Amino acid sequence: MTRSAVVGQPLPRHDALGKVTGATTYPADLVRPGMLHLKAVFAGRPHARLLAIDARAALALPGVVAVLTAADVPHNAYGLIEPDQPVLCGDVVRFEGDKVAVVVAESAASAATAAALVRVEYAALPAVTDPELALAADAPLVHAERESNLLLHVPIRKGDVAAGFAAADVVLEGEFTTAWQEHAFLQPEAGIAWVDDGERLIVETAGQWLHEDRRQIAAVLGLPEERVVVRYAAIGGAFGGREDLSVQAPLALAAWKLRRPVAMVWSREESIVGHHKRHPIRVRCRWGATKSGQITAVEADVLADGGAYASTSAEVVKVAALFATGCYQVPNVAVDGRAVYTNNVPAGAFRGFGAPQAQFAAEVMVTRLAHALGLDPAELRRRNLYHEGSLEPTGHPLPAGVSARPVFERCLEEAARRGWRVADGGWRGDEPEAGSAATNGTACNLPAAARHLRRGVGFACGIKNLGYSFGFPEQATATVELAGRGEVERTTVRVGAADVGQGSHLALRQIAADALEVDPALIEMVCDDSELAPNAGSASASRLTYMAGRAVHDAAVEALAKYRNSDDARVEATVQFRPATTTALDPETGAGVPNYCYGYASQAVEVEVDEGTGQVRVAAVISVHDVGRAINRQQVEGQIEGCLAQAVGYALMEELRVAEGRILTPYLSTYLLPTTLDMPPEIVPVILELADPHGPFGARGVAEMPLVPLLPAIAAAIHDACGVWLSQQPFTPERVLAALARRDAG
Amino acid sequence: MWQTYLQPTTVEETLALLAEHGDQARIVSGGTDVLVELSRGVRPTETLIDISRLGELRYIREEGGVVRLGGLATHNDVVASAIGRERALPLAQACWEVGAPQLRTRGTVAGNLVTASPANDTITPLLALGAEVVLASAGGERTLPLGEFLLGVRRTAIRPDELVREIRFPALGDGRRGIFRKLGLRRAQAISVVDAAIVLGFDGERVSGARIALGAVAPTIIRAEGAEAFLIGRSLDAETCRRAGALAADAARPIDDIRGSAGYRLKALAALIERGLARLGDGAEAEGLPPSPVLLETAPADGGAARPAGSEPFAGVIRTTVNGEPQAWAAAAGKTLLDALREDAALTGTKEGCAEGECGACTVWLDGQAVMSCLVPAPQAHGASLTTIEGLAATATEDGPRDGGLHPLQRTFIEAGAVQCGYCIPGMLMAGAKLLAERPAPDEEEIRIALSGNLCRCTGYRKILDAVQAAAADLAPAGERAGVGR
Repeated sequence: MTRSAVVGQPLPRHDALGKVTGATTYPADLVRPGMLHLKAVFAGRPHARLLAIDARAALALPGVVAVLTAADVPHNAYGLIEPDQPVLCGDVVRFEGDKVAVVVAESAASAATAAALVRVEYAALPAVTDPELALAADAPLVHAERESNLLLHVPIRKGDVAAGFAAADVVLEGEFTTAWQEHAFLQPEAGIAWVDDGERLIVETAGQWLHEDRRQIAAVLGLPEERVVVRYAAIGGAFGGREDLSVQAPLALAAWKLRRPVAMVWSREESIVGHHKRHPIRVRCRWGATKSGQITAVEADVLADGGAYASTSAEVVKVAALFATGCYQVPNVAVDGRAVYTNNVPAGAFRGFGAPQAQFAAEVMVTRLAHALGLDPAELRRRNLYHEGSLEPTGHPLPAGVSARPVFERCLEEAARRGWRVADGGWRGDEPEAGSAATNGTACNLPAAARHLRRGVGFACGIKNLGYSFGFPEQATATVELAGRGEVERTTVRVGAADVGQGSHLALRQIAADALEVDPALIEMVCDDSELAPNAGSASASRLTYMAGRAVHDAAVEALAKYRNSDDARVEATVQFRPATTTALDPETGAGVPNYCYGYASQAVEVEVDEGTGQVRVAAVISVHDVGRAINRQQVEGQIEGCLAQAVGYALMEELRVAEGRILTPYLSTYLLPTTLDMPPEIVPVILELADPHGPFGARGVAEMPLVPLLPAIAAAIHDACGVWLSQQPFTPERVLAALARRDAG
Repeated sequence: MWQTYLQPTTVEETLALLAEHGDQARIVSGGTDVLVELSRGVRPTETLIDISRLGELRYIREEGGVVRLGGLATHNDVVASAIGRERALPLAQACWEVGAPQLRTRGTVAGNLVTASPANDTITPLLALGAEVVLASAGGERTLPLGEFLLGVRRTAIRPDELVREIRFPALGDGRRGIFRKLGLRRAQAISVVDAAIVLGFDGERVSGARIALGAVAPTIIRAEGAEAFLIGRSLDAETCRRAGALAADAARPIDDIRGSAGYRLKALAALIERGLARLGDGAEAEGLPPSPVLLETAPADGGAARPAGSEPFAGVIRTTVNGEPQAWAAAAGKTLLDALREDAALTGTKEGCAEGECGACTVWLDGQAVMSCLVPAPQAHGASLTTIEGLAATATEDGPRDGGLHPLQRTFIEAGAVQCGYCIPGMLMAGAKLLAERPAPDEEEIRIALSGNLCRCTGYRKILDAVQAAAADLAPAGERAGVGR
């Protein structure tokens, strides 16, 4: 594929004008007078038997039209992979965000008042909220029909770990824990639904996959999929948090049953309590290496708290298990990944999808091994990093286009350019400049405090699959229509790919424009209607530019050829693109072909640690990515910078506090996101274009990759600064200070 | 959230209403605490008495060595005033640490006292400064030392018929100096994990008097009397600072909560006190408070209180001007301004992201101030002038919009790639454009501060900061532009 004028250009986004003028409509902006309003009655308890629901008081309130319960749901189970989540609970509630009823009223205020009047009688059941305890033989069952709370066990076996450890000169053990992360997309869940004149159910909302939403909605109502149309308004962020259904099912149920337009708008609190989170994962591991710097064996036990329902836990824990060895070729591997049900909030997709948690452990272990061996951590990485032809733990060679090494070398070059260098076996940053502390945070910006400040440098590598894994059906379909007499006058691209804010529609437009050699501004993009646009799969797994991009590219090439070779005034080409096949993992050994493409990343960070308060400030981040080809460099930078903000939050402050299955931080005032002042003053995104063999114009994905290395890079930098390893995410000031106290005590 | 909204225009009228409604009503002004409480069902009320029109209570004065803060003095008022900065530095520092610009322009110091959360940042310096609270009712006035005013967590000695008319304390200077320090879990929009205020009198190098107040470490703000006594007669060498920090921690009785454990609070508190003292010893206590702080308000100090001549008092129908157009909202008296804009004015460009003043997506301009409309009672728009994202372009020049109908900042947001999902963008633009109206050539730190009340989950802010800088360069007069790198 040739380079051309449009791909690579930092063209502005077509959706930006409406967004800067306030004209763009998000789901909550679609509410119109005359619509009925829905309000969910949440369980508010982690585990209980439902004895009775008394809606009489609610129904007696003026303006209340209906109170829907489980009895109103035709097929009361949904889920992305395994339909185990009720739309409205009928017998048992399994987490506090379970819904037991939906009030339908003429106004939002009436619906809210009535929801508080719905009397629900419960009998408490013992709750299991610790994933370790959930696996005990006598643990209460989250799903009584299952034999245990084990959702999935994924073993991966390669080589002979006993022999591998025997051959090692150094064997280190580690334990790492991570907590839930909340997506906190700025626009809470909302939507509208109605039944049109053709007896079709229309649901207009925000999601990540039109056709999967449609499939699940149709299944809940027992309708053929053609009777359901899903449309996306502007999507106010997603990050994996809109993969599971939220308001869609209640909206569909109420509109279908009552035959009136309905609206549902969640508050921030409902959003935080009501949707899934990033998995808390505990990794226990052993790593062995020889004096010459060969990693010989890795053993890891990976335990993920899946919460009350399956969501995507099975896939996440497989990804986490696969990446327990990071991006290193390890000859002997024994990994056991387990996802378990608990009565906590369900865990599911979140940017990174198990990779950040697993590689927090892997990367810290590699750096610790280097220290124990007296090797430069960079050198130990060089000797073990994946390269073209390396075997994955699943025994299969990596897909072509392995760029872990050039990405890492570039990161080291950028770090060296800043004066960060190897010294005394570790990396060192610049000496703090006189007066540099004046730019610090409140508690550390006084000269007298300078003696409490420690600077450190750290780095880490990362790998993340692009696209669906482990044999999950993977495809993207696009249709390109060209019309005109003699020359193309009208170009339409139909591709059901969600623009969750990442700019996918612009990337697809640029790909189409280049393939068709037309002005991108003249292309009509049809992307947000499940009826009008074919299924391109989800906006997840960093896959749209590659997958939908290939479908659009190939359809454009085919349509253009048709147009040039015929006299038709209108031609159309539809292409379903399928990448190389992946396979399910062998249930005993994990052998198989897990993925068809990977993205590689390396980061170097400089931190400043306040040893008096434990506060950590990230001063600079270098983030290097092989994106194959930047379809739009400005947008790629935006993905890197934005992902780093989520990574900085994840590393330092985002802490969903949960006690006995109840979320204690359901507000943006208690679940803290980084503000402008919390972001590193310096972020250096470095974009490498080492073309992917299959991506459109050589492109591969980047959306998740910056989240993978940052946590261990910051951990390494804190260690460099203060000599302590943090193994519990997030690295709150309190945890940092506790680690320093342990250091000083012993 | 409330049924009846009363908006008196004089103190006398207010006191009569308080006498009439008593504990059936709550007072509101900036709304930054009250609206959050009401939305959560805390201290619910049928009736709100809005005192924001009592212009006579919005003042900061120094008379005879006493600083007097009117009941309507906002955090911004303190930060921006020479009296606040020179004669009440710890209070100005605490005000500067509160929330974000959109909250500092609305929230009042008196409101903090009445909320009486142990984590209300401004109470700590007021206790260290030795403040008194003047309470007015129809029956007359009484004055309480702050220590007697505060009774417990969110409990004070104020009676239902009383109003905080004034807060007063001895001015700093003449050998008395002070400092406020806070530890939060992020650099803006952070509730204190611990905070502390220190006011010392000096006799030469030696401490001759000491008041140390500690926040978020006990049910109310407390004094660290052991540390105070220890400091008398000493000079602030490193060991003295360290020991005083440890003694101050001895006075604290913190609890575990979602922001930190008791044990962590004690350690952090000791560090804060030690460093605060060291800074006072260095004479560097004012460092960190910018000389010209970002306020995000361009109205004159009394602009919120002085109504256009001839406007009628609020009587149920909200008559307001939105983006230059007169509007009348008949059914919005019980709503927030955000809901009124979205539902009654059908202007949905203003977004709700949190409904508690944390995310800034609902930022609009109310009489020249950038405010979070989710925390503004809609009737406060009565007789006022509002600008929303839909009207931003028209404010760009006196002649109306340029750049093809866009404000320069809207254009640079598009060009810089500052827009991803876009949900935060209307609020971000309203805050950013207000900054540019307030100061045409902000530096990066000022831009970060101006936007610190606006959360973005997509962009990491870098391209947003770039866009503000680019717009500032565009807006600079041609003669000044030559020196600006583009």
